[in-house]
Amino acid sequence: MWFKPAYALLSQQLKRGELTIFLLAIALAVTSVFSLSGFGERLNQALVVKSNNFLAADRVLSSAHPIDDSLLDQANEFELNQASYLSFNSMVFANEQMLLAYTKAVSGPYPLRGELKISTKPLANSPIDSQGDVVYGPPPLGGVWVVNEVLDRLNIAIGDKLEVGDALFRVAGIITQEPDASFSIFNSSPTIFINAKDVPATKIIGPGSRLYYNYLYSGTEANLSDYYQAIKPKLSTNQNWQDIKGERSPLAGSLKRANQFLLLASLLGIILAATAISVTAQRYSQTQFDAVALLKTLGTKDNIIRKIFLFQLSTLTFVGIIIGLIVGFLLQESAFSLVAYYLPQSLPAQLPSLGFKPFAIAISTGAICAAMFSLTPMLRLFNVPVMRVIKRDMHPQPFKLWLNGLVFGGAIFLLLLIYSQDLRLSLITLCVAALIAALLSLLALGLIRLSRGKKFSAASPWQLAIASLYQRASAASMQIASIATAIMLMLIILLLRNELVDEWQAQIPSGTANHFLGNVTPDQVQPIEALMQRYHVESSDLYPIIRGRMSKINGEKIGGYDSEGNSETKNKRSGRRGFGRELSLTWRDTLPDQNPIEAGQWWDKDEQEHQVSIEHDAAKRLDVKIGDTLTILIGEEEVNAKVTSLRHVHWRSMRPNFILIFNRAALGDMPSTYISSFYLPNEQRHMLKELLSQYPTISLIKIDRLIKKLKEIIEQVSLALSYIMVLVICASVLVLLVQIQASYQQRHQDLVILRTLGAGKKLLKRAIAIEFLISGALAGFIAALTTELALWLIQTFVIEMSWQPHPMLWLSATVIGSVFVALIGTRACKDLTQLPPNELIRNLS
Amino acid sequence: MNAPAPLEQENVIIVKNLIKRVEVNNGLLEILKSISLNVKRGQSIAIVGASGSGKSTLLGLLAGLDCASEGEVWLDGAPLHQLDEEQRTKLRSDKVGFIFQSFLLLPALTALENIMLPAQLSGMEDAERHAQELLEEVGLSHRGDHYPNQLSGGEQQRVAIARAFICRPTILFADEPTGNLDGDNGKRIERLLFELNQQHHTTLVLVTHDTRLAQNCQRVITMSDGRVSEEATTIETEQEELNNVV
Repeated sequence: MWFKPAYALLSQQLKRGELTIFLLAIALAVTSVFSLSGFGERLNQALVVKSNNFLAADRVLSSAHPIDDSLLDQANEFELNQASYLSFNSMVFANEQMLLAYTKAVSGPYPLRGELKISTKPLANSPIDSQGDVVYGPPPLGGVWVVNEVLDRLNIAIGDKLEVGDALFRVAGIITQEPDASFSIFNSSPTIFINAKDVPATKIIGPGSRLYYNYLYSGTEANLSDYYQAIKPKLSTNQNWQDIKGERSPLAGSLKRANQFLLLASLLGIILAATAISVTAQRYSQTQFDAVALLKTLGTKDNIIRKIFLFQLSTLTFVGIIIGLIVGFLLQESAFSLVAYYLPQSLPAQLPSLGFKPFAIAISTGAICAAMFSLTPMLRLFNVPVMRVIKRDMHPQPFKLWLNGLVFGGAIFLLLLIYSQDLRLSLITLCVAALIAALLSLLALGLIRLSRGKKFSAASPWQLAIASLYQRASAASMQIASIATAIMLMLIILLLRNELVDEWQAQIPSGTANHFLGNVTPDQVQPIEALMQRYHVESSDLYPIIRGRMSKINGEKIGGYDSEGNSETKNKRSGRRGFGRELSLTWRDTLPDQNPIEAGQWWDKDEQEHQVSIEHDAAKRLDVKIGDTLTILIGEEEVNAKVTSLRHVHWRSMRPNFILIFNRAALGDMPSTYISSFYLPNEQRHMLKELLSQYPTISLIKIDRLIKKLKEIIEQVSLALSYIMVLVICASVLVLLVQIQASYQQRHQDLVILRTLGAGKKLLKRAIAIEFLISGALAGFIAALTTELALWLIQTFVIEMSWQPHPMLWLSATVIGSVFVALIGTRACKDLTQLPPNELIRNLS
Repeated sequence: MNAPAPLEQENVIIVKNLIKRVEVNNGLLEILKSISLNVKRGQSIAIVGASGSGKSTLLGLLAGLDCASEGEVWLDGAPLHQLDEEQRTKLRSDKVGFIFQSFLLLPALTALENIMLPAQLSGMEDAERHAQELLEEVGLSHRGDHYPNQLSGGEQQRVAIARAFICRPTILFADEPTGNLDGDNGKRIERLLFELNQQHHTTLVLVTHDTRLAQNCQRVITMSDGRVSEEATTIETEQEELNNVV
């Protein structure tokens, strides 16, 4: 019995356009969430695939020992592709010259991701990675592929002989592109590739050899994850399961942030959409007051009224979700196809497909928003007093502010949690949003009240505008708060995006070291420094390198390893585990640049006590504090040193970085080699020839190619961020329009009165423009204030970047706010100032 | 613009063959059918009639809120039918006062500011003092800084009456001024309206359903189906007089 009237009411209201805004708000929420999450997820997948090229696989299992065959067989069960290589440093000989080379003995279809390019002809004078052919798998038996540096330094050419250990190889090609070229300055020797089957003939492998077994895997994320879960219990702690995100590299850092940023932008998008739905749900409820009062007067039972309106709500929600999904799908599809051009895969078939997740998130967003944000307005609607049919100013009691806040906050939190699956991030975002909303409303209210002076003149558009703002003080403060939120979100995205890009760019500014120098002996230090000075080359200092392993903290052995480093011993202090590997240690008299001290003090140059400075994250992980004593095993010798400072290390800087730095007293007498980084402009490349010919045993790595790859990634990520920013701006414009729409009726009535009493069009136009200018300026000012706060919180606690104040933000936010809101507001209210005369008479009747 | 004839100066409103048509689904609907009417300066006139008879449409046309399809309306010598919207706005601001059934106060402004509003729009000096005086006349001097939502219906209408008189309008148009009020408040407003009207020598044009209120006016015209019926003879006589003079 309720369905027919419910259907009739719904279709009538739809025809009259009364429900359009609510429908649009649901569709907007679903569209923005769907397109943001769909686009974000696909872009993320694409970036991960691209970045995995740097690993030459999706995952790498590295081990100091061969791993059990059963583990490798298990990978087949999970349909994973496999390849492997054994890596070690060995001397290679040719033309009676020798060179320390980083050797990769390859088996299987290496690389699984990215491209390995080999040129079988001498290199031409063109970009090196444009030459050669893509190959998969190892070199032919008896053949060796080498980087061009090996040919240069040993004075050999393709086809010549090269000795590796006891075996003689023929140079079969030049490596022009290597996906997982080592970026570590501690593996600074030039690379050569041999076939894994040739390794026994070299007789290099023996007791005490330092070998790394690397097992490469590629496959679907789910299978990789399942495989890891299956083999995890069987892995010893010196076997590392790596993905690109876990890497401590500039790329890994950038990628992690890009991910967090995409997530954050999507969360902000959700809050915007939720705001739009909340405002329209209230408006929808208010427009239905008369209908409910009338139905009650006609004797309709409460449960029938409930059914009628719940039917309306669920139908609108359903239709809104469908519209949102269609628009969102088209939007993200077109955006992704634009961006796909820049992505590594060239064939559309290889592009990541849209998963189930964005659909689920978008649908649940629509449903949760509609249900929760309509809850209090709907309950209010059902409580409309019957007397309203006679006295139209009778309204149902509004709910307590805290109850509304609780429902709104709860719904937002639920949405954030579903979307991010990250409790901490959701809580931080919610708390910041709640704090900001409360602050903004209070600030806006205060500013509006202040702006209303004692003297009033209707002939002044300023006074009319302020009076209009004052009239709607609480509604206007909410409105300003949400406009401010929208502007703040835009600013945060804009600033974060710029700062992320700036910081990425800052990692590789011009003049950044583009070469690393390693394996320098102590007697070479001075002449090399002199050579560099002669060429006016700026270098980081030369750092002595001593390999050692941390074995004890305050005399207690640390878990994971014994002093040999190859067997596990459970320690009662199970919280403390060592690094599981040898560390590169150094000693210095002075604090290196970009290593700010976070706690304690740097030592005096002549300090005789053994002291050590530790990187603060490592200290936290190992629970090491100032005053603790660390024991380091260097060869057979134990060195004890007291921790006297904690340092912050910029790992992404292109310079030698160390977890542990000792003073001269502790390690000064240990035998060491030295490393350094320096920037060499192109026109001074001839210095390298002199350097390498005078000191053939030193190793040199050029990092230009790494820099180029990093720049590529940065460009792609910033493109993605721009797209997301545009989406968030669109969402905020819609929120603004929804807000203006909510006050439209009142504005209409006010303007009719003013026009009737003789106010000219010009005056009213100005008053409207000024009202929006003022609210925009207030919103912009408040947005600047809260942006600073939010940026500080986000950068400090979420994405771990350093925060700096933005003085220009205050001015620009106020200007942007007023212009943005005035343009949109006057545009949206344009027809109000163009009221035709018959509108006036209609309002009078 | 022709100069008004001497007799027309006596008539503050002159309506000649006024027709108003509106577009409806199946063509044009004539709401006002060739109405002619004169109103003398200082006279009070009630327009009564059933709902849909065209009372409010006529009021809107007389006040310059709307344009006629055909015919002429002269308001205190100004040909409303020849003025554009902005000129009509200016005329309203200078010569016309309004009182509405639903008060139509601006919620953004206090009672005092609402009263000052038309005065400030027409550039009157000393608007605040005048507003204060009127506020006293309507017995609300203690509620000047209250907003409309803090006033009762009767109080709001008293503010609206004060607002209507502040510019010393030549003509006051009132649309069901007591329609939203209960008996006592209605009577009070009625009394106030006629007192102020007399005091300020204003011409009053009043649209109402309330026959008792209408009887307080010097003239009553009844509208039905877009025509002025009861006063037809009077109007015709006046029309003849007018023709003789012209």
